[in-house]
Amino acid sequence: MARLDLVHVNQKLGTCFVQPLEAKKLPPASLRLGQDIVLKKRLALGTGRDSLLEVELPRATPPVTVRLGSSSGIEFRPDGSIKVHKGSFLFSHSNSLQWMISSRDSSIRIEGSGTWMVECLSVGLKLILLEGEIILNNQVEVKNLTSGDLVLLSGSSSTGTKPIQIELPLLLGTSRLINQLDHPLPSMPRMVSAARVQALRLKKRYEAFVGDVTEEKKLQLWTLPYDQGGETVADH
Amino acid sequence: MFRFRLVYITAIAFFCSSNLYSFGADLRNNPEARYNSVQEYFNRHTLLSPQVRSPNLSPISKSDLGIQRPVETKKKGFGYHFGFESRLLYSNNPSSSTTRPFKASGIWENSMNNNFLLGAYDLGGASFSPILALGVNNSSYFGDEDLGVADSSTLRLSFNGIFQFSDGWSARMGVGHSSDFHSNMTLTYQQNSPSVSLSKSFKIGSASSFIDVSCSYHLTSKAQLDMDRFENAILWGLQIPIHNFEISPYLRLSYGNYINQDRDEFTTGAGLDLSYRFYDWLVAKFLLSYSNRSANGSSNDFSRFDSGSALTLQSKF
Repeated sequence: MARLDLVHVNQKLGTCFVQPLEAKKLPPASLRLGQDIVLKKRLALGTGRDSLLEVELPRATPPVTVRLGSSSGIEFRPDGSIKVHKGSFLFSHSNSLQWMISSRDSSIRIEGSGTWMVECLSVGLKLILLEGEIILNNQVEVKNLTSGDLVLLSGSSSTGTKPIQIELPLLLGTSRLINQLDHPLPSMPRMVSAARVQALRLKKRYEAFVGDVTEEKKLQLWTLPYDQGGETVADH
Repeated sequence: MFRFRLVYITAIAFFCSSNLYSFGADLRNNPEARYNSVQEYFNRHTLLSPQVRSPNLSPISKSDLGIQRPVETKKKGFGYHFGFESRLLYSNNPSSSTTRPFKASGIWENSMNNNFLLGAYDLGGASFSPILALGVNNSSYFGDEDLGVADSSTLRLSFNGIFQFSDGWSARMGVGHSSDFHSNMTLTYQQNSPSVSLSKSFKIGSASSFIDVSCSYHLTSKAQLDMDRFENAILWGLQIPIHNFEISPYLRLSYGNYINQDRDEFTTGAGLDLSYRFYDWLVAKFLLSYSNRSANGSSNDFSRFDSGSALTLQSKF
């Protein structure tokens, strides 16, 4: 498991705060750049609207980078597990690590190395691997993911969908988690390399974009006509 | 992501200066006829530059995770690029003759290029792509009967491994072979050329530019041992797209050192291609080029100016 006993604030944009969870009466405290937070008890990091936060877990070797998107909340626990409450997150580590990640209705064990993003959906989690290789293990099944794979996880057993490949060059160019902060991710060269290889292996692009998952556990695919910029929704 | 397209060099100095010379002698005078360096560079990068068509995404163009568009990919990334180009040129010195007055004539060139991408491999921070290329070039001269004897064909085969890095750098190692044939299919010249190069590409607004520095050694067939040479070259190019047009100036400077001769030479090739893309597979071009060689010794200097037009058919699979 990744060592979560120290969190260092690397970069921030907008309103970012820390909330000790064992003492809920304490108000959330604003985070400062360069601040070190020793994790002895459960605590949560959060971001406001249009805010971004990058923290580092310096005790891991090499350090792990975690980014929080806007209006996001993540809980670090002393046992090394993580609970994502809302929003979107990016994890980047070049060494193989194990993570136990849970949300309101899902939990998953992740093992491997690379850069990956997680988003809390209205039902379950969305996971995208940008580079590297990871294994998802929910005790029911094991899934090997490669660069560009997107998986939706839902339900108490977090049964995952079959991985679908998504266009990495487009994702890298439009993701605020990847490119909105001043300093690029250490894994940026590896992400670009993975995106280039995917682009060279490209066979077909679908005229659709992956959205959320509905309460009925249906994946929303958004189609976007080229010439009008209009939007329609199709359930799959 | 920027994309390279087939943009062609017209500074192709070709063969006989007059019927006073044999083909072998002319090739000895005009080794730059081997290279087609700009064309080969663009052919490789056409295959390595994926076409990205961005839809109108302005309302949702940024989000925390980014836009997730499903795609289907191949397992290894085998690819193929086919190009055919027909060029009609006027040259003030088509034979790259070193003696004035030059004989001007027209040149009709047809070239076919096949580039096979043998996979794309992620090395974690760099990608590796081997490319096998096979091409044929045919040249016919008109407007001067003496130059008719120079009609010829060239067969080119090359294998290159290209490493691409995230910051626009790329490194190439490869080996090429070319054989020239007279119009009666008599072999007139052969060479094998191992080479290495380092390139850097830039983005300047909607335009893209590159610099490529290369070193190559040219091993010629026994009959032309005195043509064995070492060459260093720098190639610069710029592509400025304006709607369906593309303006592409380029400049190539090279220094050659002949192993079996007391000969060093400096060659300059500069050109401007103006392309109009009717479709992805059909491009019309207006071509201008100038080349100049300055060598030690007395009889190897020349200059020439070419202009003309071309029609290109291309497809990528």
